[in-house]
Amino acid sequence: MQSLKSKYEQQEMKVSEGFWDRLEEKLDQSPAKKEKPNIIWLRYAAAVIFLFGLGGILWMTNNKAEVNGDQQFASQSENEKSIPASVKKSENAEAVKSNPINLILDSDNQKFAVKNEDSLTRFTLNEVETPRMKNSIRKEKLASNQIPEKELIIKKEEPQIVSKPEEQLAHTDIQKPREKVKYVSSSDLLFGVEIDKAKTETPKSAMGINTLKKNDSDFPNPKRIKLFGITLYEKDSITTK
Amino acid sequence: MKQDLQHIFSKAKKNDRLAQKSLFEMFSGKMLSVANSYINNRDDAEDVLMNAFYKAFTKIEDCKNYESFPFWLRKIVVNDAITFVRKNKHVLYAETEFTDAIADQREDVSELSQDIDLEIVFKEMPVGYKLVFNLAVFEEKKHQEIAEILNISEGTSKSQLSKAKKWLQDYFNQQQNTKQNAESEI
Repeated sequence: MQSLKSKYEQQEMKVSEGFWDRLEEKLDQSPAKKEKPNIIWLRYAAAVIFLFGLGGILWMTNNKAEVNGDQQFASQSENEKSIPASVKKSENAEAVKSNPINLILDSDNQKFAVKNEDSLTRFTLNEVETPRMKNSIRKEKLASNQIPEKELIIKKEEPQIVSKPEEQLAHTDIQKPREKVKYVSSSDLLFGVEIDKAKTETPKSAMGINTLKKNDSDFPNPKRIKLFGITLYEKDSITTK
Repeated sequence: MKQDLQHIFSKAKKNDRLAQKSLFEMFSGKMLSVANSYINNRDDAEDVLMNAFYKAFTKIEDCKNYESFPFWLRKIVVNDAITFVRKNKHVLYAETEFTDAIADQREDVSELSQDIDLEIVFKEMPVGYKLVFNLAVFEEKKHQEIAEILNISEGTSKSQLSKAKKWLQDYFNQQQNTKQNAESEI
């Protein structure tokens, strides 16, 4: 057996010509198979990108809503900022003032304005705590306290300050959905009249609504009742009397 | 030689075409004869060899050591050859119970002849005998392994091997007789 085996191991056969070329051709086609996992990988990548995109869009929409809220607040705070500047101007132009009647009126308006400002500043103090804002608020307070003492205000700036609450009110009015006025149509009215007519023409007993109830009910139906010394009469009994 | 193989093998792992070609040139002759010993048809053996080399080069990552590459490649060739034979030729195994006595008788029979043309033997030998004989003698497989590879019982494997040996003995005797007859005639 060993001799057979050694013979077998020594045996070799020559491969036909062009065998390697065919094998090489086959091997060159093999990379096509390797593309499959790549496609799968691309699918996963696409899914991940899609999810990120979706998340991004949702996040952006949420942010937009928040930003809108912030912008409303920011517009308010900007108006506030404009106030101290105007007040400063008034301080600088103290000597220009002349009309005493206007001064009194203006001082009243200013008080009103200051109240508004206080309410707003409280709001800002709660919401925003940037040092810059705080400074502006302090300036406001100082300026508004000084003004009634000095009784000196410029007319020009007043409308700006006073108009603010009015604007806000108007704005809020628009936002409220208006209730629609309901009008009764002619056909509905006529139909109602018809029902009333039917009710008056046909007695209740004929319609068979109240007859059964009256017969069956064991509940006492007195014409008058005494409660705490006061007698109460039934409506019909009074009219008959 | 070993260093060469190591170098070529490492290059072939990186899908180097030249290294693959040199590996092919190294082993194609031997592997073709192995495949042919099972299939007995040069063209079919070449087809099987082509697929085996293709498998080996595309899955060369599975073969970790360069020293085991020849055996690994041979295993692929043998497996492919067997599957080819099983697909294309209906192999019938006579399910006879094996007795050790018969095997002992046949053990040293084939030692008699030294001048055997293996190619003719493989051509003449029945397919059922040949598969078991090849696996048992040349691939040095145990009967249990052969039974698993060929999907037959271990007893069948043993009986097929003993029958193959008997067939071989008869074949040699026949050849010797014809030789003697020829000599006497001269």
